[in-house]
Amino acid sequence: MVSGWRALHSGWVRLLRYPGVFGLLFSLNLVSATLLALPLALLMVSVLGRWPLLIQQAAHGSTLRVVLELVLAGLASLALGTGSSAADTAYALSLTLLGGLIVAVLLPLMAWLPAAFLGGGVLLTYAEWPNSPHWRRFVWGCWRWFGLFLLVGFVQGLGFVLVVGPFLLIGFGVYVAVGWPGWIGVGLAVLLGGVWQIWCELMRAASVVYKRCSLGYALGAAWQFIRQRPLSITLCFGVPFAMLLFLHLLHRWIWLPAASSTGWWVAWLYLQLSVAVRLAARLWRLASGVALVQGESGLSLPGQEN
Amino acid sequence: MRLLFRCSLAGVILSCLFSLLSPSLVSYAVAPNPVASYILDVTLDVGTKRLRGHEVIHYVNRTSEAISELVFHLYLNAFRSAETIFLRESGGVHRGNRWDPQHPGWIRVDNIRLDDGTPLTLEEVADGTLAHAVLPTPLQAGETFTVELDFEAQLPRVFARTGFVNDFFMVGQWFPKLGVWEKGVWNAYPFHANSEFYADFGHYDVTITLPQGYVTGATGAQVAASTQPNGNQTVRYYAANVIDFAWVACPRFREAERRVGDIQVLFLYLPEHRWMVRRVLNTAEAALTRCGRWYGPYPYGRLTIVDVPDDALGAGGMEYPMLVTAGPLSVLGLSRGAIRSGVDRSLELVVAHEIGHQWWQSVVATNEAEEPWLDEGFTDYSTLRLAGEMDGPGGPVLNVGGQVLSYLDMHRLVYATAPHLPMAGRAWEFSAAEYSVVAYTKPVLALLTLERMLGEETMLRIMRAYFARYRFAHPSTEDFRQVVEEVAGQDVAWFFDGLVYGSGVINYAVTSMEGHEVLVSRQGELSIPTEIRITFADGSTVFEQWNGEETVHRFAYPDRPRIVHAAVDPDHKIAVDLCWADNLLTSHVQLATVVALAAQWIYRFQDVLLALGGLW
Repeated sequence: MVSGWRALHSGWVRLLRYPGVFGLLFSLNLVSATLLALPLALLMVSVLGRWPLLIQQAAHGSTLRVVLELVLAGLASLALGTGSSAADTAYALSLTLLGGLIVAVLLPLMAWLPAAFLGGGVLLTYAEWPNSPHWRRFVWGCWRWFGLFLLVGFVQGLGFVLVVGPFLLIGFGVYVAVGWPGWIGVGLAVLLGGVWQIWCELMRAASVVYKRCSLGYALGAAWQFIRQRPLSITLCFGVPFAMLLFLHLLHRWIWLPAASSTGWWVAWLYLQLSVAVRLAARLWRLASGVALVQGESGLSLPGQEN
Repeated sequence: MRLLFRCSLAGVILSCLFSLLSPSLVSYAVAPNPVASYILDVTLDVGTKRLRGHEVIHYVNRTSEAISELVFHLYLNAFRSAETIFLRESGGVHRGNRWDPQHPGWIRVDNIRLDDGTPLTLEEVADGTLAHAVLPTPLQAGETFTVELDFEAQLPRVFARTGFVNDFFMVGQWFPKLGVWEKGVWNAYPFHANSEFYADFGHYDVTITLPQGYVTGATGAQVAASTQPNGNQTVRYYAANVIDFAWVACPRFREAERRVGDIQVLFLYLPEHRWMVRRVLNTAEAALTRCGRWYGPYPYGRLTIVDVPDDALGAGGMEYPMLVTAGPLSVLGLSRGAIRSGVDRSLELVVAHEIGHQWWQSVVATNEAEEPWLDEGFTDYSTLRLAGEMDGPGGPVLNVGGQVLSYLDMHRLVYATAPHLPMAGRAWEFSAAEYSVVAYTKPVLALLTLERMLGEETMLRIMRAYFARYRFAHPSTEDFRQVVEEVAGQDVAWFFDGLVYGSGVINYAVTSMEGHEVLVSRQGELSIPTEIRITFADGSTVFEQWNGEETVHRFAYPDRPRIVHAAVDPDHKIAVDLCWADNLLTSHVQLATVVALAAQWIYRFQDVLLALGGLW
């Protein structure tokens, strides 16, 4: 058995031991985002390049304004007739928005599929600490748990929609109708969401540590961990969660406003740094979870072969 | 003559009463020759939601034409059956609120007589929202009369600005009110769905009896209060130089007050809306201060702002002299949560708008039925200015995660749905959707365009002059035109002939750019002088003036470097320009902008991938 602190320490060591994992995920994140953003930006520039006002607004992040101008251009072309320049603008904007819609559909797929695929390799690498990184094992891990992690991802999403969502809705409804008591519902939703997130991450960690590929096993093992070691788990996951939250707050309220006032390339570098730090915080949490599960190997787990 | 003598005598007595009341009880504006003054004594039966009242009207004929009959508005009759003009035109729905046939509203007048006891016969006309009574002797120019009547009124369940919901009472348009005698006729129309009101200035002395425990608010100031052993209370309000009188009552009202200069602001709010208090009072302070500075001082010593319950929103967002109603109303149709969280800034906008009406309706009392753009348009133009000063350029109405929709955006959007409509026109000649364009959005954009074309300082001088000249009066569009032309000293036909009376639209665009030439075009029938900014490859810039009379104009500069950038109306002064996206054209795509765009989107997608992926 290891304590939450020891798991955190071990997770940190594992994070630093395998910078390649971090590098791979960061690069993949950047490449995926670029693959989505670049065609859209080029499409917008090619069809709207003659009217830089909209591109400037989009570059400032004013998506709503771009949509508004599209609607206005459409309405103007109705009022003025098809021969007007507003009709050309409306057509060009429509093309851009169509591209935006396609990207919006692709975005969740680009997020979930690679994450589900890479999850096995990442957790296996951390589980095999202190061995040297081995890319063939990494890829094997990816493939081995891809199906299960897809399923876990689906179950995780379902849990959020069916359990956490209603609490959020009820909390919001009470807030609207009554006021501050609504925050109780929101707080409960956040708590439930946190617990569910930890449960799902423990399911993945337990599957990899015990080399199992069964959803039922993963659910049971994770539940047993939560029941038996609530304090260690709270610490082990709570600290990285808190750090992530702290980083988000710093990012939104201090760093981002400061970066906005600099040149675009300084802001760009800063934003990449921000993504990297947040990614590292997540990987720290995953590695700590693996360390915790490994430390619990003395426990009797359903179907465990000793 | 005998009748007139008696009327005049009563008038003298009433005048004495009013003159005794006004200086000692309230420090209002200098009396602007009141025309129709009312003494009302009303009892509210909170069980049956019914009013029983006695009314005394003191009227002075300040025109040169003799008056042979009286015409009264009986507005509550608009809600007595589905067959009224109001309910037929509106389909029983007003601002999203439905008329409840189980709780209709109506008003009956009994025992109408001159003060000498001569009975008059009141006959309903049209759908019962108007009634007329022939005078035994015409009232000559400069003469006065006093008429008395009893009335009984049933309040409807809250609908179209008036009524009850549970223990909340919004009592507006509740008493028989005279039309406006002008140009030899009574200016009074049946109550139409889109139309609002028009009345003469006068003094109001109103006594209200209702159960103890009810908190009241009203036009004017409370000057007396007493309780009776039967469990009732009587409150008395007095208001000088106003065009209407409305009041509210609810036992759950809480009071919050703030002093803004010489003005006492009272906010009557419901306990569940305590979160509104600071926001409403801050907005009220900003509105009173700024409108006072821009147009002229608020002439009354008091302003009451009334909150409405969530299930009585039909009473919210309405202006009366010295009293406005607000509440959790969203101009975007969003939820109360969005308003409360500040994502939707409708609360501030509604309060600012209704307070703006104190200048453009209550004091400069234009005819809301015949020329709605003069009060709603001016008021919403003021609201836009206020929102801009309070919350930043354009006045954000929606702010979600940094995505901002401004009040100006909203107006541009609504305007573009029906830009061909003239602003001038009677309220009921338009559908509800058209009314919102002609009374609100087009006037806002037109006035903003006028401001940007003439300069803010000139515009404010116009508005101040207009306010000073027509306060406590009933100006028309042509009166405003005269002031504009006098103060601005230039031809603004594009505004009046083009936008107010005309149906033309405008869209300026830079349509092509070839080497040393640029082509700008005007699409639509309207032309407004504008400016062209042309930038050359060496970084130099020229500004050209263009009257916009031709549909296409070519600017050529053979002796200068090639043109890289051209913009028509570069500062977006012409807010009625239907599409701003095509006002600017460049010879080539600027790499820095493209890179900035790509960088922005890449980061945003990285963020989403991190959030959705779980692993990253």
